[in-house]
Amino acid sequence: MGDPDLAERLRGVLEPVLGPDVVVEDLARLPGGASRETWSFSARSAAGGGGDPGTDTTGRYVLRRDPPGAPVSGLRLEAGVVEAAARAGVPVPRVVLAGDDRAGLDAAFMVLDFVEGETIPRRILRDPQLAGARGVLAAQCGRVLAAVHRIPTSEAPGLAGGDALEQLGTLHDRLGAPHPAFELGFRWLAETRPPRSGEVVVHGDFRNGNLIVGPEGIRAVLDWELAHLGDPLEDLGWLCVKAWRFGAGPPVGGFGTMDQLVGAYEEAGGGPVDRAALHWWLTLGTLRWGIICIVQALTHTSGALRSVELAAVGRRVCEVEWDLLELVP
Amino acid sequence: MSSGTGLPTPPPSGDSDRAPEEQASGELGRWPPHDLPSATELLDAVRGFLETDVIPGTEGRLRFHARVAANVLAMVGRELALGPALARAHAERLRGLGVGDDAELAAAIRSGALDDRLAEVRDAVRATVADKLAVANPGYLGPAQRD
Repeated sequence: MGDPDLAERLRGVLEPVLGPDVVVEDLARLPGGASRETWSFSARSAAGGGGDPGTDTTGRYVLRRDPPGAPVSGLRLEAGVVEAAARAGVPVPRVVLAGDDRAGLDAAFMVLDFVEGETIPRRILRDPQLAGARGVLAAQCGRVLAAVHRIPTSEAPGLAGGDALEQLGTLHDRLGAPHPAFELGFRWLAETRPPRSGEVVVHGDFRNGNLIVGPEGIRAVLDWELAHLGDPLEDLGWLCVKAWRFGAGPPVGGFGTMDQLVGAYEEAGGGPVDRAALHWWLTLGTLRWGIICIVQALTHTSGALRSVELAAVGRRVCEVEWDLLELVP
Repeated sequence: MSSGTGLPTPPPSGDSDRAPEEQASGELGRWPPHDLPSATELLDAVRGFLETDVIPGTEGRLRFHARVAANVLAMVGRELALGPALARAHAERLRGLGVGDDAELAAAIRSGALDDRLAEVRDAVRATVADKLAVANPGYLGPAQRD
């Protein structure tokens, strides 16, 4: 799917970074990213300027931008977090350019290096070429999360914090879509809340689907738009939410065991993990995914963003209700 | 193929001697006075089109959305078939707990008004969620969990 107008405007914002002769090619929208557009493209620039093909450089990049006209954006913040994550040793794509120059691209945007590899969860879980990766992914997730949680909060200024359960309850009440199963979940969470295990930078959406994977394992962690300050166990619990197994059996992302994840996390300096507290965060994550499903359906039905994908997600709420009833004793 | 009248020969119909009302009540998603195909058959036709023509002929985002669309049509077909019976069962469970709808049940769970009947509440909620899954994604529950 091409967009000549977008390619031309992209060329305009890239010129200062990649040179005056930069040419944008192969612009294609990538699947997923319902709330934020993701495009891949190539940029070719004649570094020598004289048209000598020997000096041409071609790079592959990814553009993330808000839907045109979106009111407020955290994309600028997101770019800062990705850079801080890189410094902490988290594998991430390099940020080439970030801006909220509406004149340039109609919306806040970020250009990243393209990282080769697989992101589609079902392929990560089934592709024979990635069998080796599946054996090591859970432990790698543990080590990578330990690095995420080492990002100094001072290097990621502007991130929101707050109480995850309270925020989820407020959001849920605002939706006006009461679900008895969710109420049972909220009650159990309120009655069994574990002590806070720390306040760190959490990725906020660390799961199968936001990882670029090669045969050797994780190459990059994507989608930092939900990064915030919170309990480190929030990321570990979210990774284990059943939806991110995509039909496979193993509890961590469909590829590994809790012991692999937790063992590697602790070994890499991520701090001791209380299993009961992890179960609490898994339950909260499950409830959170259920509420996100409702939000996505409302995004469609309200007309804010019409999409068959968003509409269909509304009917996944009952999957999450079922999972929640399995988790809450 | 045409007969002597210049009109195409209709394929044999199995229920041509039944009264229209009988056909209507006996067929899924078919209500008078609408013509054939029935709502269910129309859904199947569109789903077949998506699965046979669109999905194999597209890639990337469009292919993914076509697959989602085909799944949605299958879901609507299940809702046409099961909807009325599941709605009755749901209403029956709510009545048993003394509430009128899901919003009231949710409020009662939150306030603690049904705390003395929590096991019953949990069973009712679980049964309703299983019914929702029967429409939305029947494959989600293993055979052991499906009753």
